[in-house]
Amino acid sequence: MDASPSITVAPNVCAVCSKNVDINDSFCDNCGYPLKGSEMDQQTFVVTRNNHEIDLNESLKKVKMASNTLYWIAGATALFGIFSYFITDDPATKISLLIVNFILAAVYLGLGIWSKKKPFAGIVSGFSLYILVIILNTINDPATIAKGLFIKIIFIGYFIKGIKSALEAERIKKELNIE
Amino acid sequence: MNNPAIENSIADQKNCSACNEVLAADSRFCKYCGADQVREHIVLGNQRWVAIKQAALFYLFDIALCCLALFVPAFKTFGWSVLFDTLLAVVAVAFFSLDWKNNKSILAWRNFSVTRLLSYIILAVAGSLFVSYTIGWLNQTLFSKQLSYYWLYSNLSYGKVIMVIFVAIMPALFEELAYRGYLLQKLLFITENKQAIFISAFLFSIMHMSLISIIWLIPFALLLGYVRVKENTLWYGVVMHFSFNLTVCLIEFHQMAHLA
Ligand SMILES: [Zn+2]
Repeated sequence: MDASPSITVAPNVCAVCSKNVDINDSFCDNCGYPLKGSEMDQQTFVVTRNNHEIDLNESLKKVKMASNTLYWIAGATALFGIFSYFITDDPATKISLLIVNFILAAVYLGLGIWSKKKPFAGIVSGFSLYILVIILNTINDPATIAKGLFIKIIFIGYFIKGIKSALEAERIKKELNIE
Repeated sequence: MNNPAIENSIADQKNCSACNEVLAADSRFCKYCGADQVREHIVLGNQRWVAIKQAALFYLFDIALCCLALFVPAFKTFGWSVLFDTLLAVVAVAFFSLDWKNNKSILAWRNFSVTRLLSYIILAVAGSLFVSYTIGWLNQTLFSKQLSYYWLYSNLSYGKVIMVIFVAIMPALFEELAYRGYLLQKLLFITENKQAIFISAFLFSIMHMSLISIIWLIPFALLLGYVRVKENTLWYGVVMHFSFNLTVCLIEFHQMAHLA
């Protein structure tokens, strides 16, 4: 167990995942490394595994973009709440606008933080809320859909990529047997 | 049964999916032929993306119907509300039965237990009482809005019966079929249990489009989702949802009687 990972490992430890293996095994039963395979087999295995790791890092980057999108939306929603407060005259309306937007911002922020731990649930929930808010605003005032349309499309793109990548990351992690 | 050692040794083993050699139960790869033992679960990547799109389609249908019912003034009559409740029920039944093969198992009620059923009912009624008195007050102070369903039914003959049907029975059946049935089952296929339960609860809660109600809708929906996954049946949830909403109706009837 204390053997430091190096090229020359004890024969009863897998060279790739360092898990204990039986000296008679042909393959590592944890990662599939061909223990008795030719040098060529073993190199191919390592290259494929490295490629998976590169894919995983790509996916995690896209997941992070979607998480950050949630933070951006949280910030924008809070700012919009403050802005509405100052341009609205009716005292009851301005207070409820402020409260509603602050609660929304807090929900986006919470989902953004949570999506670091559970990317799929955090991003799917945040994206659904975002779409619902756009729909409700459009019903309330159809002109709002055109406001910041470009940004909205970019955000939606990040979310969709984030959801796909969160699934992809889960899949590769399972395949590489890392948590 | 009478030899636990044998039971254990069998549970600790499996056979390779390719060469049929005996492997340890937690082997991810066959140590004899190298065949991947978990791959079958993993290749479902594309099917999961398709499942997400189906779930999204279902949810958009529901949102469209709810928006029409809530925000088009002309639809705010009893007749239209019956139509929209019926359409929501049709959407729930349609999506549920289109995926009948994966969904039918949760309609069974195995391991039925009166004790557990009663505990769930008590939990739902207690939750409903708590929510009615705290959130009702919050809604009134923050938004000076009175939460009331009865106005829609009050001038109908048999108003109370009709209200119980449309507030307690229909949502208990069809919201459960839609959210803890179709949607949660799809999400369980896509991701792990905890995330699936959370997403179904969150989507269910925001679909009601009331910011204050989210405070109690999310915990309630999380509980329903948890019970549905734990008990592997839809029916405890249906009964809980019914008890919760029926309590709301009874409180309103009680308040009406006092006002009159
Ligand atoms: Zn290994």
